[in-house]
Amino acid sequence: MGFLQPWLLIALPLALIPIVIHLVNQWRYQTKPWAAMMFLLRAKTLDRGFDRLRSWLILAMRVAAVLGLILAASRPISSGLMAWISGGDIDTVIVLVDCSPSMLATGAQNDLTKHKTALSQLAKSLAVFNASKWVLVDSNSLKASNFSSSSSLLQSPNLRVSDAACDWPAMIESAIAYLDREKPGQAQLWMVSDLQATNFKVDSPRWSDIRKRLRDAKTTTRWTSIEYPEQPASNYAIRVTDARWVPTATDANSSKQVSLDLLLSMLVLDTSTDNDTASAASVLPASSLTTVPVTIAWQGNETQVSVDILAGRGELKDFRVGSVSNLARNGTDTTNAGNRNSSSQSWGRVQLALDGNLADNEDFFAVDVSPIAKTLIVSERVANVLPVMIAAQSPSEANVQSEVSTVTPNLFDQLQLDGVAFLVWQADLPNEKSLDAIESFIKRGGTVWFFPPELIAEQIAAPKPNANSDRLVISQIAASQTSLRQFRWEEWLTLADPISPTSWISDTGLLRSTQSGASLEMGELKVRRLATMSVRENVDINSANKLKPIASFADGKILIGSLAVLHSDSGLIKPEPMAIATGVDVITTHQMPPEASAYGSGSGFPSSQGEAVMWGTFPSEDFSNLGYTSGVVLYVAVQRALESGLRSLKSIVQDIAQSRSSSGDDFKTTNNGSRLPSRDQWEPLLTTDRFLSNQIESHAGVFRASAKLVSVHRPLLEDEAKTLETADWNRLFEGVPIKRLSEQTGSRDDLQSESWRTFVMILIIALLVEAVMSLPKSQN
Amino acid sequence: MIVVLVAMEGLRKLMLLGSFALVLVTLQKMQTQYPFFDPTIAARLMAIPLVSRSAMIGGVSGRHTSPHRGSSVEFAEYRKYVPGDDLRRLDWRAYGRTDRFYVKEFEADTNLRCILILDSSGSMSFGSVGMSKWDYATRLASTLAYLTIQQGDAAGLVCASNEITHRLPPRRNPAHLASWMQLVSQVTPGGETHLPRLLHELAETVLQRAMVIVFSDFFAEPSLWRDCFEHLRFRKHDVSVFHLMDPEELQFDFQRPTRFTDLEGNASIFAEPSDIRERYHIALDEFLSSLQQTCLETRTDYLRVSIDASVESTLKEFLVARLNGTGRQGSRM
Repeated sequence: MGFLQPWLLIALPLALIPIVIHLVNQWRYQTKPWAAMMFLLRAKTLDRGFDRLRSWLILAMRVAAVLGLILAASRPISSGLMAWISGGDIDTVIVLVDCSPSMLATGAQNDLTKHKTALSQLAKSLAVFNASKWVLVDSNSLKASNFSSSSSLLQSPNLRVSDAACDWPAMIESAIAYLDREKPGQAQLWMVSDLQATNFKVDSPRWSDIRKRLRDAKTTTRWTSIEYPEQPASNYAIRVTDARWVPTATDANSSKQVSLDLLLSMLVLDTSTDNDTASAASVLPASSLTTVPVTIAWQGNETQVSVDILAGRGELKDFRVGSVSNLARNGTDTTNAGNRNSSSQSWGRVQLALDGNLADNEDFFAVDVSPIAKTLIVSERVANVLPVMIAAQSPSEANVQSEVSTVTPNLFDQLQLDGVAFLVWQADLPNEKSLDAIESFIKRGGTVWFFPPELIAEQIAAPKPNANSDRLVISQIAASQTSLRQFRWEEWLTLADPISPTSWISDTGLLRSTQSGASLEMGELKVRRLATMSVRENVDINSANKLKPIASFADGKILIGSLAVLHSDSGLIKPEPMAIATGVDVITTHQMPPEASAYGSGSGFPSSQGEAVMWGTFPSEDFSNLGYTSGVVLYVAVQRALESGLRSLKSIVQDIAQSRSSSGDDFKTTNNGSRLPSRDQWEPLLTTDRFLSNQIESHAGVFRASAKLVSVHRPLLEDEAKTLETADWNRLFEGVPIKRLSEQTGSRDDLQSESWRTFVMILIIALLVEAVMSLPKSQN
Repeated sequence: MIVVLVAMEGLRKLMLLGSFALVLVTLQKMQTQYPFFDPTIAARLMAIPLVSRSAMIGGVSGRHTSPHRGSSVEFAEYRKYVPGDDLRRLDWRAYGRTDRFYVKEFEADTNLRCILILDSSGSMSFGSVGMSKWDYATRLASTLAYLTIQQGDAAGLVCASNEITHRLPPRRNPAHLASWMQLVSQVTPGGETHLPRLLHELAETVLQRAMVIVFSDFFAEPSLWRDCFEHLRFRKHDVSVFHLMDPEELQFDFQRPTRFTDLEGNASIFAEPSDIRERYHIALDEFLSSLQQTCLETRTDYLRVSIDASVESTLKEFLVARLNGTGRQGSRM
């Protein structure tokens, strides 16, 4: 049995006050000459058991009331009390601590962070337990670590706040796994969180299993959730959305860029502003406009820039931070400019002034010149895809150089696809050897467009791995996906009247709407000849590898299809169809990772990987108007394919800080599909003050991984200050008795426990019993 | 002659006034000398006679029924003539009707002898209302003695604690009242209660039937009182008891822890009044009901009196009840 304020126990002798008063009262007796002694003597002989006990019971109740008051004020620990009652000790104390960046937020009234407050209160609370095992499950490691004492647990470096998000389902699963494995007799579990809603992943299907395991647990476990939902009075979060070089001068002789400007885009969010308020920005008065100073540290210099915040959101686009010269393409030249370690690679950080949360006041960027947008066109007749070639030769961004090569299919096997960002295949489907090369290309993150051959061979009933087969067999595209895909062109259809696609994916992918929200004019596209396509069904095939329509006609025929290739170990979220509709205003969407959408299309952050796109027609006049009146659609699609392919070639990798267990052990597959050395081998170039070398995966910063720079950011969802609703909590922990203690951030008080209520109840009961027993008997 | 007659009538009225004045002076003197006696109460109660419930054997004619036949106007019975009877008592009319000699007998009225027994034990000295039970008892007894003597009956006195400390035989002489008062004023309550034993002694020593009125708190076992009362009743005495209780004894509403010291001994009891109050009342109620039941069964008039009650109303109730012959039980609480 433990107490949070044991010094109050020195007041326990006060429980003797009723006894002392009783004795003093006895001592202060009066002497009364009395005649009716016979009745007194008779009354003594009539002394019945309960009556004899009554006065002692009253005295005991008074003592119990004082004891209850003192013990309640001493803040007894519930588990200790329960263990004391049950006669056993707590075997194991498991502490689950949210170490996400949001825990560095301060309270509205003080400067202590939630993290410091929690550790302070935990230190006082855990000190009273006499457990044999101390286990820490932190959001950085997601693993249960054993400690010898509460003090050593609380001094663990794992408790340092990192930049990784907290995965509460994973932490609780880890704790449950520990309980299942160790099977302690009695366990105490303390959850320390700020109730950030995104950390709880309320929609995760894992919760149902967690609930079931918690309910079925054989260990006597008492859960206590210490919550710090209080939000700082004012807080801004900053993140870099884009960093790129823009050439400002080019050597006329060598056509090399000799001077580059660094353009930086950033987003500042007022996380203390209600989301509803932010959405109503258009109706906010001008007075709600605030200016936030941002410091950009780059090349040893600091640049101050102001960002206007309106309705909780401020964005700075393409701010020119500075320029460098004597650069060459692809790292062939070296310079001694600032922190640049390679030829054109550079990095820096953006910072906000101190506010309610230190963790979201800075972000990092790394930048390198864009590689040449190489397009390889494999065509039996270039005229069939000439508009594609023209579009590929005209990059949308001035700092991107393009290069288009055309080969015939029979020469394809002799080529190396290194440096190729975009591959166009207009011919019979590739043979096995070519297929291997294309598979590798797709794995690397390249985009492949397949156009039908001019003449489609006769359909083949069964697949056969023939080199000249008209089938595209994509097998083992993803390491963990063993399904067999069988794609084939069916036949050419000549349409009497040109038709237009009626449904297409407009929020992501090739045909997504522009950033301004305008959709591509797919309704203007007219198709005169259409090559039908299909994927042969196979038992090994799974839904993820089926041909998905990007654009289709009213009769269901596919104009543009996609064979998405995803890597299970890439850390990406598997896209799931969200909705399908038809008509001109169609939206069929694949859900993008929120981190991806935050950085936009130009950041190099991936939106999808390993995509093979099948076009059912040619962009030539006899087949469609793709190359003419609807050329905008084709141009945009080509540029997006190029952009997607270029990501795999860039030397800058954008990544998200994450917990150790989810970051992999031996190697890191980045979000753009390329494999990097494990994080242990990364070299930190620029990190936060909280950086720990043994937690490199959990911290934001700029790291060097082999020849690439990895810019690690804190998760976007960490900037959402919304706390978990009570209804969601109840739903997540339905049937699981968890004591919730909502604490004030910055409070130096010890954690309250429900045990004091027990003693208050004892106090009240004792007083009531004493009052009832002291009532005068009826004078009948 | 007329002048003589007028003078004699005036002299007679003057003598009456003188005697009345003498009485008043005597009463005032008695009140001054004996504070326990209130002549005003006595004067107001003189209109109510003290009557006996049973026949008395007195030495002189009085207002009380005698067991003997006498010469009162109240017919008693016919009896056959036996030689020696007074021929004046022959009922000639009955002889005319029956041709037999019958003697007509009448009730005899006699005076009574009232023995007032005062418990003078130490417990009677207790009082919380400005007077002790002894004081209250002497007020009752002195008034009754006065009334008794005033109506021509004899009043006696017995003061008893562990022994009969004072005793005054019944006399009907008005001068006896002064002796009675004088004796009472000399008594100070003290000692233990041995009243039951002494009542037995009195029952044996008082040979002639009498009205016995006991003033006591009766703090003894109820079974002892039963024997006493039965014994007195066996001796043809008309027994009445005034059970005197102090309000504190009845209520027992002490708050603080108290050491109760016995007024009749050295014993003491320390008690938390709140603890034993209930049981005290149980014991008290048992005692009161037992004593009352004992009196009822032994045909003893029982009047429980709280000493904060008015002396006059207490006596009035007692006298009226006896006069009307109603109920033997009562209380003045």
